[in-house]
This record gives sequence, C-alpha cells and structure tokens, in this order.
Amino acid sequence: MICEAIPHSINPTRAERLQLRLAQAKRAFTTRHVDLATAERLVRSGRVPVAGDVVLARVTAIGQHARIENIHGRRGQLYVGDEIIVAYGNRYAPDQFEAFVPTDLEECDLVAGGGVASRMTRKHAGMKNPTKIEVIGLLAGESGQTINLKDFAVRADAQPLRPTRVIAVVGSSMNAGKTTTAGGLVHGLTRAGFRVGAAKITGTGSGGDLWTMRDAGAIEAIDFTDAGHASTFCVDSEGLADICTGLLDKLARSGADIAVVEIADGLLQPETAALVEMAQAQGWFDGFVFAAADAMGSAFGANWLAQRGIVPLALSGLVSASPLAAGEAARTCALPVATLAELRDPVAVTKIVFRQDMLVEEAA
Amino acid sequence: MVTTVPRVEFIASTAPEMPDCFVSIVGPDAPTMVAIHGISRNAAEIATRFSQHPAFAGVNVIAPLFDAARFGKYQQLRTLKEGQTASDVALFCLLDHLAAQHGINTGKVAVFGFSGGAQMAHRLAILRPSRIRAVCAAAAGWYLLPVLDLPYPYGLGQGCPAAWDRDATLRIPMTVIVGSRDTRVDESVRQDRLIVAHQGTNRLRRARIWTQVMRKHAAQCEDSESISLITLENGSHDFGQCARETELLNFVSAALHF
Repeated sequence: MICEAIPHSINPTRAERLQLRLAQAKRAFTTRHVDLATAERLVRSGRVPVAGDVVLARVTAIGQHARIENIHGRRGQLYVGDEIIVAYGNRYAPDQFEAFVPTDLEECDLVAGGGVASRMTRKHAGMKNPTKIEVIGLLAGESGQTINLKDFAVRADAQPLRPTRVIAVVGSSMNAGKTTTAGGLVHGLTRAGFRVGAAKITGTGSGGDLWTMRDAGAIEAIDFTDAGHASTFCVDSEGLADICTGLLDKLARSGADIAVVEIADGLLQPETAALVEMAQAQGWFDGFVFAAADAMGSAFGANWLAQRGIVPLALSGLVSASPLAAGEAARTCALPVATLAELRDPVAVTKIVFRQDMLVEEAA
Repeated sequence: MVTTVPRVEFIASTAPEMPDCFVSIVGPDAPTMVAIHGISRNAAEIATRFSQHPAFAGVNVIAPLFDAARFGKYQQLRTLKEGQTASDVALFCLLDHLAAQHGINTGKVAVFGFSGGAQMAHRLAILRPSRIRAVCAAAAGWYLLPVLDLPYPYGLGQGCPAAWDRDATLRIPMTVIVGSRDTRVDESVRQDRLIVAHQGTNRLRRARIWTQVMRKHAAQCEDSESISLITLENGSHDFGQCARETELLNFVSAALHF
C-alpha cells in the first residue's frame, strides 16, 4: 500500500481541509474507482441523494455490519464515531436487508459491508439491525456537482466486443452456490489453458466475489461497481444492458478467451429475470450453468429457463454436493449435474462449457 | 456485441470406439485439420487457438479428446486394455462420423499434434499414410524409428501394428517443430534405454535424429515430399505459450499447406 503524506499548510483552504478529512476516513470498496482529488466540498443543503452518490458519513451505532471492506479488500473494524466514505445504493438481499436510497440526507443505514448507504425497510429474521450512519455531506466538485460512481465507470466502446465464449451462472436464490460454481468454472478453464475473465453483473458491491475469481485464476475480475453502481437493485433494463455490455467489452479487451459471469440472487429477483431475458434475446451469453440449493429449486429453475428458451449446460451449486439430491435433480430435469470437482477439472469443465447450444426449439 | 471467430463445440462420443471431440466446422468445402492433444488432454484449448487464428479461418478443425480410460496409450496407437479400440481406428471412426454428420471431407486430412499428440501424428504418417495429407509434429517426446530391429513402439519390429509402406509415408509432407527452450529433461521426457541409445536424451536432439533418418529414406524415394525441422524461437513445452508467444500457428499453417 502506498501512503502519501498529506501536505499541511497554514490556513488551509476548504478543499485542502476536505482532502485531509477524506484521507483519514475509512474508504469503502464501492468507492475504490473514485478520484477523491476531484472532491472540493461537501454539500447538503437542498440535495436529494441518488444511487451512486458518494457520501462522507459518521458511524453512530454498530449493528449488523461491524466491519467495512476497504478499497484493498480488507475488512476493517468499525467504531462509533468513525468517518467513512461510502456510496448510496439500494439493496435486495433475502438473507439480509431490503433497503432503498432515502429521499433526504438524514440518518440512514450501512446495509452492506462493501460500503452502501441506504435506508433499511425489511430484514431477515436472523439479522441484527443495520449499522447506523449520520450523513456529513455528499462529496462534490468545485462547481457543486455531486460526485457519483458513474463519473468513474468503465463504458463499452462504440463497437463493443465480447469474449469468444460467455458462460452465465444463475441460481435459485442467494447462497445457492453461484459464486462457488463460477469460481470452479474459472479455475477449471484456467487449468485447461484458457485466459478466463470473470464478471459479476448484478448484486451489491463487495470485493469478496471478485477476490474469489482472482484466486481461482481469472486474468481480470470486475463487477457492476466498475460500471458505476454500488448495487443493481432498481437499475432499469437500459442500465443493466450498459453494465453487461460494458463489462464484457472490458473483459474482451483484457484478452479473455472465455468470460464467466455471475448474476446475483435467484431467477425470481426482478433484475435477474430481466437480465436473463434480455441476454437471451440479444445473444450475449453462449451458455448458462444453473446453481441450485436443492433438487426442487433445480426443477423450478430449469423449467423457468426452458420457458424462456434456455436449457442450461449443467446444474451445479449446493445441490451437487449431495449425491442423492443431485440424482433427484438430474432425473427430474434431464440435465447433467456438475460437481465442484468436475468444474475444477480441466477436461471435464471443457466438456460442459463447450457443449453445443441446447436451446429449446420453442419457448413453452 | 461483436464476436467474429468461429465457434468451437464439444461433441460427445456416441460409441465406445469413438472419442469425444471439439470441433470448429466452417463448411463442407473447407479443408480439414485434425489437431491432437498431449497428455494434458487440452483438446478444447487446441481447437480454440486454431479456430481463432486467421490462417485457419477457412479450415475445419477437429480436436479429438482421447480420454485416459478408453485410449490410455493413444500416442502409440495401442490400447491399455484388451477389447479397447486403438486410437488410429478410433480417429478414423470419428472422421467418418463427422463426414456423415456435417458433410465435410475427411478422406485425407492434415494432422497436427503437440507433445503426445505429435507422437500420434507422426505414427499415423508412418503406419496409416493412406488417410494423411500432411503432418506437423510439434514437441514430440520421442519418435517411432523406421527400423525393423527395434520392437514397436520404438521401431517397426516385433509388435508393430502394420507393415510400413515407405513410399506412401514419404509422399506426405512432414514438418517437425521443437521449441528452442524445450530441451529440459524432466520426468515427462522418457529415458528408456532404447530411446536414449537411438534418439538421445532431449526433445530437440531426438527431433534432429528422426528427421535425419527420415531424410535418408526420402533420398531413396523418387517422389518424396519434404521433411522439415523447425526450431521454434522462444518456444517451451507448453502449447498455450507457443500459440500465444511464438510463430507456432503460422508455421503449422505453412506446414499443412493452408
């Protein structure tokens, strides 16, 4: 890590005082691409936050998230009184919180450890209350314009490229094994001699999944935060399309032969469903692997995909860890079930990934 | 979004005597190349690299996958267990199947092999020349010598699965390629007494000896084709490295007359 000395000056300007303050704050993963040097002031008066706005906030009560992931991926302890730099965003996490960007700058919640400021509306029964944060101000440039993650987003070229093969991992729910499945694919394909790029197209900003892909061998691992979104809940179709094409373009230009992309949550989540349908219509993906928590989820998911003209290359996820459950899934869906060991095997994984398109002739 | 290269597809075997394969089929009138993997069985990678390369844009690429269970000694055209199918028979079965399915011409094919695949490729030229149009053998660990006083698979003596039609073999253009950095003698380079005694210890030395022997035969054959040896600058014993960082694929294109 490079530590830059912050120059002290007599009678510092407002901008200089702000830079000193920002340098001492805990900066969250979601804001890692933001050039903080562009921040000249903090604004509050008359401002209504929007998703992606970068905010300096103070921790007022520790709740569910007692740590915050910094720009390098380390989860640092939070203390009451800490100043943190996070981004506004909505959150949809069935195992954690539902939350929306508030319409004011009053106290709100830290709803994700990657650094998402929002206001919680509902929570899983197993969750504590969210960590509370007090908004000090929105970061703004010299002319007062709010700094937003989109200001630092990667965008697709006018002639966007995509890797020669794109495999999408979708699932039955949160924690169905999608990231493990995607990591297995990345590792197996890397061992098979391919340069594999990984992308998480939807979800809530956090470095964990990207580190997983990097550790598995991905030459590049990027997500929607690279495309200027702290989370993708409530992002419209056009926004989702921009994220998908932008990330695939970036992976192709990085030299990836194959892209493994993960789409968060289950197929019933609105943005996930919209993205899968749009991708199928546009031909963005060459194949799907469906990660399910159990056999019943496998059956529903396979049917849901079939209704949209998609036959997955394989089932995987948690269901594949149980031979009995995997057998039920395979029999019911008439699809192969790939275990994690098979995904990580360089020969077995290529048989899965390069299977011929098995698109349903006519959507039911 | 733009993806311009032909698609590589996996085709699962439909019979025990036929291997799985990865193919990139561009059309029935296109020439066909068989690309054979080494012991890492990276058939998908090999098919992908060739199909992506501009010199092979108009070529049907077939990369068979000789799995260890069914085709354990595929490099030597032999079987591991009784009742199994030899890899040459299996390959021709696959080619006939693909010809019937896709209408492509697989009567005489160009063959490329890397490492263990190169062993199989040059053995096909010696023992099954009627189906081979050209051969390019890259990074073979050792070679089948055309001599009768060595048993098979070292030579054409005891146990050899076919009689040698010398002139038919020598009418096949043959190119041997070895990376300039592929001289390390590790556990993957067999050091059998018969191999070391007749071919030396490392891949580069063995390639030189084999091409010299084959050229001597060619000198006695009126209409023989060329037998070339290329030392691949900066090439290691890694197909991916050679494909990405050296002229390997351009040399293969020239060797197989695409």
